[in-house]
Amino acid sequence: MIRTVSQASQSFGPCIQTQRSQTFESSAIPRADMDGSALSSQQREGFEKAIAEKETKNEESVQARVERLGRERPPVFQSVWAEVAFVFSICFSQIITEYFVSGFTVILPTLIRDLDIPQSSSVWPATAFSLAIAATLLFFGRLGDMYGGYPVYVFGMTWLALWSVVAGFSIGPLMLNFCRALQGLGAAAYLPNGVLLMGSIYRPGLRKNIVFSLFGTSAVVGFFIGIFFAGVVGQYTRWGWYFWIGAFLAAITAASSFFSIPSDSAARKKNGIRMDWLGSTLIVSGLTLTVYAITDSSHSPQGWRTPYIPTLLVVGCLLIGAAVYVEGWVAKLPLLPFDVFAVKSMKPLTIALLLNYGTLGIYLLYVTQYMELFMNASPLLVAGWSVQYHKPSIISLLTFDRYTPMIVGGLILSTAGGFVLHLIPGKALLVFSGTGWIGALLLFALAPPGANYWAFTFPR
Amino acid sequence: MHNRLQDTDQNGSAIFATIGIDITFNIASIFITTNMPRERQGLAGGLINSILHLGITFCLGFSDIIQAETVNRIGLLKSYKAVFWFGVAAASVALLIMAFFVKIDKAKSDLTADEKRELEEAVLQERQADVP
Repeated sequence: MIRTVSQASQSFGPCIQTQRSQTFESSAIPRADMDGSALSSQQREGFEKAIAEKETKNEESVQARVERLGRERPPVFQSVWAEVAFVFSICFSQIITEYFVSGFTVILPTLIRDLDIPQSSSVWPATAFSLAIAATLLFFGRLGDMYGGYPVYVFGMTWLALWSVVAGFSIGPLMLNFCRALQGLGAAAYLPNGVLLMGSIYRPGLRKNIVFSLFGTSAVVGFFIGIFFAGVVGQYTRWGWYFWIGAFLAAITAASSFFSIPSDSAARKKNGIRMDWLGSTLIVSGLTLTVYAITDSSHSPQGWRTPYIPTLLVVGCLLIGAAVYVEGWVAKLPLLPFDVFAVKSMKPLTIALLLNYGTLGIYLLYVTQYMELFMNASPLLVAGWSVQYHKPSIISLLTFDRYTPMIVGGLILSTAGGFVLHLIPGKALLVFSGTGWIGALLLFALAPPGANYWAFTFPR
Repeated sequence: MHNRLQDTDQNGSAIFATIGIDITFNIASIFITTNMPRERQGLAGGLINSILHLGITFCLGFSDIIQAETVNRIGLLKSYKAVFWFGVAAASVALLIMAFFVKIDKAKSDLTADEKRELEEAVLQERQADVP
């Protein structure tokens, strides 16, 4: 298999050379001199030599040309501003998604109070959002492959803006959960298609590394903005404004995307990819039930023994099993074709990533709770967990202080990373990064609790 | 309010977590999108984000089980620590997998997956044409 540019030059080079020399011989060597006299054999030789030299120079520069292309602005952008607008539109999708995840955690106590959400179902608005995303991502990714990333991306962003506005007007927990789930559908639509657009337009190289690193940095920015606005809104005004500010940001992004993203739908429709309806249905329903069962297990009346939890889990797993069967053996154009994992290193990478991102989840949720319960002992906490429900600005201030090194570090590291990824082998960076994952939790696993902690039992 | 050890823990942990998520996510995204042909870029996007969300969900599910099952025996504080040790174990396994099984090279300027595929086909055709 051809894996490197040099291999390509070696295998394909001779073909290029023979083709080129034929063309050159026939047309490039002039028949006559400038003043009309026929070329002497010396002149003719001179021309042939120059052309041969040019050819070898062209041949060696396959490598150089690929290098140059990897750094140039992709030809689809007419100017640097077109490219900036495009990158801005796509990166903002990460910002908005993180805004609606991180900020929601901060505004949740206010919502619980204002909408009378019962304690046992207080986790649902957040879960509805991420569940809708996780279950339907692959489906919308396939839609993008079929009809073009551009229409699905703009659709997703507009849908999110719309349902964010509606969510701000929620009058009860049911409507809130419904709106959050629909917000999630919008997010599921634009997330994979943002990657689709960037991955299709950018050649492997420095420019792509920088753009993707900016994309990753945007998640950190969104995290920051989400917490900030949620805190400010919770303190000074009606909670609906959190959603409306988010909707405004999404609407700006939708408009900017509409104008700045080059449309790829014509090209993609020609690929003739069709939707795998059976696989999609099985995957979406299987994932929904499984994730629901796992997430609800700790909040249902009897935990895992509540009858509907294991039932849903088993049904969900059966559906996923059926999906695996369908994708592997039945579907003609499976939603998740198994030869994706034939790419070298893909299988181990996927497993390692699942574990690593899981560690992220633990960090974001459990470390936060741990710090609030055991380490930031302040007079507010003496009264217990419930006091914090009424002071969102305090939460956001505490969170600011806690998360500032993470935010600043993330911004610097992520952006700087983009500039060195083409110099350092990925494996080395991943191993280095792996120690980061371990260290983040190890510090807390080993840490002695602070001087001001109570081993109070937390009623569950 | 907090003592210095706690500050070190919080900040140190935050720096570690940043090193974790930012580098891993970027490299994984670039690698996956670079190695997929154009008509599968949507699938690549779907995969990248699915792995993120499903990884978080399933791991949080496990963690919840661990926390809920241990809290009655060893108390709230230690149940949280149990979750952290589970996370350390998971991250260690991931590190071993990355070190020994994942072979990702530099993300340098290169042909796209489509171009490589076209070149292979062209070379195959050439070779077949050469065979009499």
